[in-house]
Amino acid sequence: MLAKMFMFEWRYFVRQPSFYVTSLIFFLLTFFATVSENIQIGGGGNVLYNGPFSIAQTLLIMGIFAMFLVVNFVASTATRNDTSRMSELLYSKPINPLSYQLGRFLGSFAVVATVFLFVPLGILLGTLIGGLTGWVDPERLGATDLTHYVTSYFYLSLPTLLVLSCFFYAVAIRFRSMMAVYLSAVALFILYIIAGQFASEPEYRTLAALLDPFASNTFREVTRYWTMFDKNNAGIEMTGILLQNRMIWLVVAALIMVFFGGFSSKVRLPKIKSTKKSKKEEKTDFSDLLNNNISYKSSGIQTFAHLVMRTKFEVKQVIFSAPFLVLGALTVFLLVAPLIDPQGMFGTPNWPLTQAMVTLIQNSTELLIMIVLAYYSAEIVWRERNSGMGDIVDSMPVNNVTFWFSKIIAMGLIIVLLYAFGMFATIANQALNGYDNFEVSQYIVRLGYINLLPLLMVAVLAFFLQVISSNKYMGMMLFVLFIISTITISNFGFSHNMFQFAGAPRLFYSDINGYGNFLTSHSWYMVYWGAFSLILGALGYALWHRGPAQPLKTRIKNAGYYLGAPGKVAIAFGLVVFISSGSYIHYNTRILNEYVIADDREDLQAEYEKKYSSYLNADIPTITKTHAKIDIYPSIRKIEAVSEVSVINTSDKPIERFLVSKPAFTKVWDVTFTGGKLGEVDTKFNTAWFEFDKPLMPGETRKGELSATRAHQGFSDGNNDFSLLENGTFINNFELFPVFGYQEGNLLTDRHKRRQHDLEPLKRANKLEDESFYNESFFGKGVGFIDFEATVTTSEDQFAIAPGYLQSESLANGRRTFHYKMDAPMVNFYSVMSARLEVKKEQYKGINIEVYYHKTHAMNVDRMIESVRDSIDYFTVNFGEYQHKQMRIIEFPGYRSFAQSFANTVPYSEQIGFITDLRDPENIDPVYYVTAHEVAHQWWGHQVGAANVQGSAIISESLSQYSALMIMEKKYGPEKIRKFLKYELDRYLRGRSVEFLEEMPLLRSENQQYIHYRKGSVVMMSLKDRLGETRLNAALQAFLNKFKYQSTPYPTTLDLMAFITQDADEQEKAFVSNLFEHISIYDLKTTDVTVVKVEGKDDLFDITLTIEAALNRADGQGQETPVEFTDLVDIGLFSDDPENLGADDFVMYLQKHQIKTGTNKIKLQVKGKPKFAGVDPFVKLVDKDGADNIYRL
Amino acid sequence: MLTINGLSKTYDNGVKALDDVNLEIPKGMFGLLGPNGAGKSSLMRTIATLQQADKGSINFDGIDVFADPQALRQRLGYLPQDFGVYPRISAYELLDHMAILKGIKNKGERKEAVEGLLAHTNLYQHRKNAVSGFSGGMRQRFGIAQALLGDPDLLIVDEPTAGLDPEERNRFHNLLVSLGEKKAIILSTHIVEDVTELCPNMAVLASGQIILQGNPIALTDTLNGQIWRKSVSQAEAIEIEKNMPVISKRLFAGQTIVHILAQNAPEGFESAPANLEDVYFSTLHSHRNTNQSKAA
Repeated sequence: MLAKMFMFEWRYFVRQPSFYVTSLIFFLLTFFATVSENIQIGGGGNVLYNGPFSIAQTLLIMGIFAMFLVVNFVASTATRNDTSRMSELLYSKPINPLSYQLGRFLGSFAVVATVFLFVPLGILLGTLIGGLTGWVDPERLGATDLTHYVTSYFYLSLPTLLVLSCFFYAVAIRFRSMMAVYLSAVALFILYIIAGQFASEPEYRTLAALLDPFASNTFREVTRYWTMFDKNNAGIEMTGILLQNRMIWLVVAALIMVFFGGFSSKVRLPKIKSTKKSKKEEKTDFSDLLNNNISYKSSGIQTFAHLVMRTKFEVKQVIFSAPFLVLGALTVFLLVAPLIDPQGMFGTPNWPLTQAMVTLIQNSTELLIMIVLAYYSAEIVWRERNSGMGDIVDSMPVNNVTFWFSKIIAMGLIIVLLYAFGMFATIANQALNGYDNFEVSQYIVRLGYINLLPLLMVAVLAFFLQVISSNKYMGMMLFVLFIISTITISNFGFSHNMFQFAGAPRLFYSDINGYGNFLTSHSWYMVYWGAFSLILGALGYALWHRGPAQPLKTRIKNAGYYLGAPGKVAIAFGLVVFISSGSYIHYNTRILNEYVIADDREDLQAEYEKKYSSYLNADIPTITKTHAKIDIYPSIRKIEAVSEVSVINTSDKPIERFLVSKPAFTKVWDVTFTGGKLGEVDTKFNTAWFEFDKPLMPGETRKGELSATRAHQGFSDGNNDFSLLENGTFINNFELFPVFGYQEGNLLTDRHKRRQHDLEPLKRANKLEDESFYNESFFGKGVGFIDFEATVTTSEDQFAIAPGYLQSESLANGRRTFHYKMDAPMVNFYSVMSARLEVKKEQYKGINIEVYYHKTHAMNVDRMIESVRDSIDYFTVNFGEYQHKQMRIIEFPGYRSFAQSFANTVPYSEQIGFITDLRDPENIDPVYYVTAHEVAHQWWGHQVGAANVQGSAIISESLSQYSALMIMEKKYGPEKIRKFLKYELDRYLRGRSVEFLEEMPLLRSENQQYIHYRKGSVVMMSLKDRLGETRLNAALQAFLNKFKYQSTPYPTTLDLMAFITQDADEQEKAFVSNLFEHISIYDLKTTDVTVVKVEGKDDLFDITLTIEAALNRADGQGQETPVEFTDLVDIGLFSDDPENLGADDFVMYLQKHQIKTGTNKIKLQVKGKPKFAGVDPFVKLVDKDGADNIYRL
Repeated sequence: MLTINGLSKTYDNGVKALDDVNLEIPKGMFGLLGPNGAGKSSLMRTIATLQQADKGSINFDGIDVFADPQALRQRLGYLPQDFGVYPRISAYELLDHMAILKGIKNKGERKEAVEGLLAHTNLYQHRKNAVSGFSGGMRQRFGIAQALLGDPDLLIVDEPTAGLDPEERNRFHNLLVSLGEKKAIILSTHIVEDVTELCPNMAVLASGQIILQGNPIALTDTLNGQIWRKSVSQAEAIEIEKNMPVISKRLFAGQTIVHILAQNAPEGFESAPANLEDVYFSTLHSHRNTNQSKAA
C-alpha cells in the first residue's frame, strides 16, 4: 500500500505541467544567476562561482523559495482529495491511514526533492557552459568538484525540504485549505525575515544558528569569519552547530508528522460546521407578505447608489476576512523587531524620530504590500466568478465602472489600513520611548503621497492585468512578471523613472532640509503616471469581465460601448496629460539636467581612464594660498565662487600644461593663471588642458583665479546634488572649484568590470617603500598646506561657515556676509557651509566650542561639547598643543551620513550622533566616541599628514581611533572599551571575509576601512595594554613632534612603527611586528582547569590551567600558516562571567604569563575559589573564537 | 417580442454550441427543450448578455442586445443553471443587494418587493441565515427570487426546478404562470412535463440547432394515431428495438413499456394517445438518424 501510494503520487505529479514548469524555473534561476552578471543569488565579492561557499549559499537562498515549491506539491497532495471532491468516494474505501498518508506524503516529498535537484544542476551546468562560452569570468571558476554539490544538497537542502514538507503537510491536513497553507507560508516567510534581523545581533547569533530551519543563519555562523581562501576551498562539514541544527529539525519534523500528520486518525471527511439554527421568529405567518407588490420596475442604472453600496460591500468583504486580519497582524509584527531592538551604531539605538519611523514602515512593508497587491487584486477582481455569483451579477444593469471603482477602493483601503496599522505601532513606540515630536503631517505626506499614491497606481495596473487575463492565476503571473520586470528593466538601460511604472525619483528626507525640492519632481512624476493609470483604469473597466470566459477579443470589440463618452474623454485627457507631463519631465531631467544610465557611465569611466591615465603622475601646480569669495543663494540653490590662489611648482621639472576637471552641476567656470590659458573643454569627460605659454618653473610661484557657478534648474531623475541645498549646504573645495590633475576618483573599482573593459587591475595605493610619493600628501597630488581667507555671503536667515576665525559679520541688502581668516597653515581641504540652525557656544581654556544643530536634535549637544573638552585636555597633555582657538561642530542634512574633520571644523551628519538615544548607561556612547575621533583628527591628519603610500590612513584614522578610545576609557571605564572592542574585532573579522582584492597587514592598509578603523582599534588598544599608556603616548608624541606640519617628506607607517619600537625589547618588537607587519590570527583556548584546595589552609586554592596556543599568519587571501610564538598573554581568574559587563570586582587575578605555541600549563595559587578562568579573557588579541578562551568551572 | 436571427457560436475548443439558431419568442412562457449538451445554456447565456455570438443577432422589444446589453439588463431577470453566492451574507441582505443592483431605488419599494419575493419563494423564515449555508433546493429558490426582482420583461430561467421538491415546484410553476401574461419567459429544461404543463410555445434544441418549434398541443396533434405501445419484458424490449423504430422505453411496475411511431399498428401493439414526450423523443430520434446517415 505504502509503495503503491508513493508511486501514485509520483506518477500523478510527473504528469502535471507544474512539475516541469517549477523544475525549469528553479533550473533557469540558478543557471542564469551563474552565467549572468545581472542576476545574483549567492556568491559576491571574489568568491568562485563553483566554490563550496557559493554553492551552499545559492542552495540556501533557493531553499527559502522552496517553501512555495513545498506548498505547491506537498500541501496540494494533502488537500487534493477535498478540493477535487474525491473525498466522499475515497473515504468510503477501507484505508489504512498510516501507509496511505505516509505513502502520499513521501511521494510528494520525493517530487519536491527532485525538483530542487535542478538547483545544483543549474549551478553545475551554468559554470560548465559559462566557462566554455566565456559568459563567466574564468577567474571566478575553480575546478569542478562534485562533492561540494552533493554535501550542500544533502546537508543543507534536503533536511530543510523535509521540515518544510512536514510542516505544510500538517497544516494542510489540519485545515484542509490551501488558503491556510499559503497564509502560513507567507507568515513563516515574514517571521523568518524578522528573526533574521534579531539574528545579526551578536548575542543572538548562536541561538539563531540553532533554531533556523533553513540553516541560513547556521551557515552564516559557521562561515562568519571565512576568508576568501576558506570560501573557495573549505568544504561544509556536518559537525558542531550545523549538526545540532539538523538534528533538532529532523526531530521536529518527525514530531510534527507523528502528532499532526494525520497518520493515527482515520481518514475522514471534514467536519461540517453546524450552521447556526435561526432563532424562532416571532412572526411565523407571513402569508400577508404574499400580497406585497413585487413588480416594482428597475428605475435604470443607478451608478451613484450602486457605487456607494458596492464599495461598502467590497470593503466589508475584504476587511472582515481572515487573510486581512493576518496581514494586519503581520504588518505590526514586521515593525516589532526593529522597534524593540533598534539597530544603531555599536548597538546603541537612535531616538525614534518620525523620519526614521516612516522609513521603517516603508521598508518593512514593501515586500508584504507587493504580495498583498498580487493576491488581493486576483481575489477582488474575480470575486463574482469565484463565489459563483458572476452570471447573476453580470447580467444586472450595473455599469462596469461601478465594479471597477468599488473594487479599487477596497484594494486601496487595504494598503491604507496596513500603513495606518504601521503608523499606530510606530507612534505608540515613540510615545513609549518618551519621544513626543510625532510629526503626523510627515507620516501623512510621506506614507500617503510619496508611497501610497504610486502603490494605488500599481493596484490599477494589477487590476488591468487581471482584467486582460482569462483567469486569476494568469493575472497573478502577469503581475509577478511585472514586478520582475521592474527589477530587470534597468539592466537594459531603462532605469529612468519614466520607464518604471509609477516610479519617481527617490525622495530623501532630512529634518534639516525637509523635502528639499523632491516634492516638485515627485509631483510631476505622479501627474505623468497618474495620467497613464487613468488610461489603464478606463481600459480596465471597459474590458471588464461580463459573463464567464468572454475572450479578450470580444471584450475589446465592446470596449467602446462600455467606455462611454466619459471614458473616452478620460482616455483622451489621460493621453494629453501623459504626453505633456512626460515632455516636461523629459525636458527637466534630460535637457536641463544630466541623465546617464549606469552602463554608459561605466563606459565613460573606462574611456576616461584609457585616455588620461598616462597623466596619473604628471606634475601639477600645488596651491599655497587661497582667498575665496563665495556667494551662496540657498533658496535657488546657487553658488557663485571665485578664488584667488597662488600656486607653486613643487616638482623638479617645469610644468607646461596640466589637466583641469570641471566641477559637477557647473555650467560657468574658469581657471586663469598669468602666462597661460585654459584650452578647449573635452565635454565628454568635462576636462580640459591648462596650457602655460611660459612654463611654470620648479619652485616658481604664480597667481591665478579659479571660478565656478554651481546652479540648479528644474529637477533631475536621481542625479542629486546633496552639497548645495535650501538649508544645510555643505560643500568642499574639491567639489566646488575646478580641480587639477588626473582624477582617480573617476576610476572603475570593481575588479570584474575592469576586466570587462580591458583595464589593468586597480592599484589601490602606492607601494609603502616608494619614496617618490613621500612628498605627496594622502589627499593626493598637489594638495598641500595653504594660507586661507574667505568671504562668504548667504541669505539673511542663514549663517555661513568657512575655515578660520570670523573677522567680521555684516548684513546688507538681505545678504549676510562673513569674513573668515585662518591664522595657521591648513591642509588644502576645506568646506563651506550655509544653514539655518541653532547654536550652543562655550569657552573652554581659551577655545571656543560651538555646536550648530537642528532645533529638534538638541539631545546630545552637551555630550558633544563634553567630548570636545575631554579630548582637548587629554590630547594636549599627551600629544601636544591644539593648533586652533575654536572647535565647531555643524550638523548637516542626513542625505550623507558621516562626520568629517576639517581644520577646527567638523561637519557632522544628522544621521549619526545627534539623534542617538544615550539614556541607557549600559550602552556604548557613540556620540562621545565619534566626536572625540573627529577632534583627534586635528592632531592626526591636520598636524601630522601622511605620505601618499600604503598605510596612510593608519596614521590619520587608527591613531584617531586610539585617541578617542583612550578618552572613552577614562570616562566610561575599561568594561565599556571591552564591549566596544568586541564590536571592532567582529567587524574586522567580517570585513576581511568579504575583501575582494587582498587583505593587507596593518602597515600596508590600502584604504581598507575594516583595517584602518576596526583592526586599528584592536591593534592600538592591545599595543597600549602591552607597552603601557605612558610609553605608547610618549612614542606617539615624539612621532608627532618630528612630523608636525611637515610635507617634505610626509611620514609613513614605517616611521610610526619606528617610534613605537624605539625602546622595545626583542619580544615586544616581535609582538609589534605581528600586529603591524603580518596578518596575525591568534588561537588561544583554555582546555582544562583544575582547582585543588591547599591542605590546611582554609581559603587557598591551587589552580592549574591548561592552555592550547597557536599563532597563524594569513596571506592576502586568508590562507593561514602556523608560526611559532612565545609571548606574554593575560591569564585571569574570575568570580563572575567576564562577559557580564555589569559585574563589579569580579577579577580575582589578572597577570601576564609567558605563553608559547602548543600546550601550556599555568599554576597559580589564589585566595577564594574562582568560577571562571581563562587566557586572554578580554580578547585583546585577534582571535576568531574568543568564547573558548574562558573556561567555566 | 424576442427575435433571434441566425445565431451561431463555436467555442475555442471547436465545440459548435449554436448553429444558425432562429427563434421568435412572443410574450408568455416559452419552453426550450433539449438533451444534455444541446446548447441550451449557451443560448440562455447569450440572450442574458453574458456571451457574445460569432454570428447573428438578438433583438428584444427594439433593443439590439449585442449592441446595447445594458439596456436589456434593465429589463432582464436571469436564473443561471448553476450558481453560487457570496459567503457570509444573509438571504435578506443579499436579495436587497441584488435589488439595488437591479435599480430599485426607492427604499420602501425595495423592502416590499424583497419581503414579498422571500415570501413567495418560502424563504422568509430563513431570511436572516446566510444563503451560502442553504440546502440545494433553498438556494435554487433564492435564485428564483432574485431573478424576479424588478419585474423583468424578459425572464430567463435555466432549469429552474432542478432540486426542488414537488411542492416547491408547483408553487414556482404557479408563480410563473401568474407572471407569464405580461412578459416573455424562457424556460429551459430537459423535463418534458414542465413544458407540457406551462408553455404555449416551445422549441427543441439539439446539437446547437432548433429541430422543432411550435405549440405543444398542435405538435402533439400531428402524432395522434401514430403512437403504439406494448408492455414487454426487458429481453423482449431489446428484441423489438432491433426491428422497429422505438421512440421511447419506460418502466412501469417492473414492465417495460415500448412506444413506437408507425402509420399502422404493429403486431401485438395497442394504440396510445400521443403526448409531448413522444413528439420530443421522435424528433430527437429522427434528428440523430439524420446526423448518423450524414456522418455515414
